[in-house]
Amino acid sequence: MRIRPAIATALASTVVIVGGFLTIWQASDGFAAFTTETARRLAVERAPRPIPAVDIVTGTGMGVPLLSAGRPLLVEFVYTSCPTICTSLGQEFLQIQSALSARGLVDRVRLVSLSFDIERDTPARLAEYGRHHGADPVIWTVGRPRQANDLARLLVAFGVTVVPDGEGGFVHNAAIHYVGADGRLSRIFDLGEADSILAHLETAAP
Amino acid sequence: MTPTRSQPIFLAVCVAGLVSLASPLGRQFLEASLVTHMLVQMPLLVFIGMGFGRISSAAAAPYVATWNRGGSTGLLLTLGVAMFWMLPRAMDAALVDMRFEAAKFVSLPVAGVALAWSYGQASPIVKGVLNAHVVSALGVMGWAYMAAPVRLCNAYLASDQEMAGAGLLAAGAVTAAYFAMRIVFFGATRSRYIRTSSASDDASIVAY
Repeated sequence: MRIRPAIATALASTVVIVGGFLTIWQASDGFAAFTTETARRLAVERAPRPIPAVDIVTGTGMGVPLLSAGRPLLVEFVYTSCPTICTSLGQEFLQIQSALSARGLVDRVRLVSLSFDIERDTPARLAEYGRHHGADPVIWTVGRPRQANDLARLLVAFGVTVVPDGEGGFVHNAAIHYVGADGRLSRIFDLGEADSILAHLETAAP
Repeated sequence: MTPTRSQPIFLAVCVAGLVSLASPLGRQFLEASLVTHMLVQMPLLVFIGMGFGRISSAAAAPYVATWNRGGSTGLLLTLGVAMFWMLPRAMDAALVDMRFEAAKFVSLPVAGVALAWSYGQASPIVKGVLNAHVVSALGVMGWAYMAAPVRLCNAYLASDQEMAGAGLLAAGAVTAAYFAMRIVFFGATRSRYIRTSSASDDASIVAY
């Protein structure tokens, strides 16, 4: 017996609709994340990711551990010759730094501006970037990974993509990353969310 | 397409196109920028699929007609594949994950085949809705890519994104103009319906 075309087509079309719906549902985290950046933010909130314990070179030329036990971090990725977005990131950090000082929360968190331009960002330039943005070394560290290998591991762990813009600069995800006291990346904030960040720091376990 | 002597040449062109798009050099060249990735490589993959579909539609008709009445299954498949690859993160994933890249090179030509097997059998209303949908989707996507305050693809520059948006708008305008011209000069919908509906009747006769 032959199946009637109307029924066969209805069946096949239903399979295609359900299959397509499920595939796109799966690929967009339940219609929640259409871009890689949104997906990254969702992923770290659902499953905080361990950040590799590497040393970073600071403006003094000294190596310091990126992670400090028991103290959460706010990390932003920059490069010191960046004319645009990194300046906004710097301003945001300054605002957070001032707010933390005012509320007496200086020991609650460390701010880290992490350069991915390990070729050009010498300690002198890192120091200059810190001075320029008003970084207080007690709370705000400006540094870069010691070697390319460490940088690659950090970029993968944070999920940051750096694309050369063809004019000596870079394009990268601009965000502020919260690494908890356990050394895991668990929240990613947008620029302009300083208030949410401060609220998160106050509620997060010290 | 009725069998002609030019058919093997047409087939060879489609195969050569697919091979060169999938070659490492072709991929590197077209995937370096969002504009060529989205507006050259991906449409070409669909067009090549449509080429394969045209050659094979008559031969396939007896087998698929029962399951694809009015072209609905095939058109839904094409729409689903198109929607999937409209996810910015799907394109990002294709650049870093070979599974996604392979899926792209399979699913887009398959969508083209499905489109070629199905469009001619669709009713004029379905065709009209589809045509309008393509134009509006290109317009909305173009606007979204141009106006988005953030980068949609992590792997591409913001300037690329604006250009791609402009390209999508242009593609939408060209498509709209093409549909309009067809109606003006050929009164397309009506005459095509008569021709294709008889063709699909033939197909269903064969299927029984």
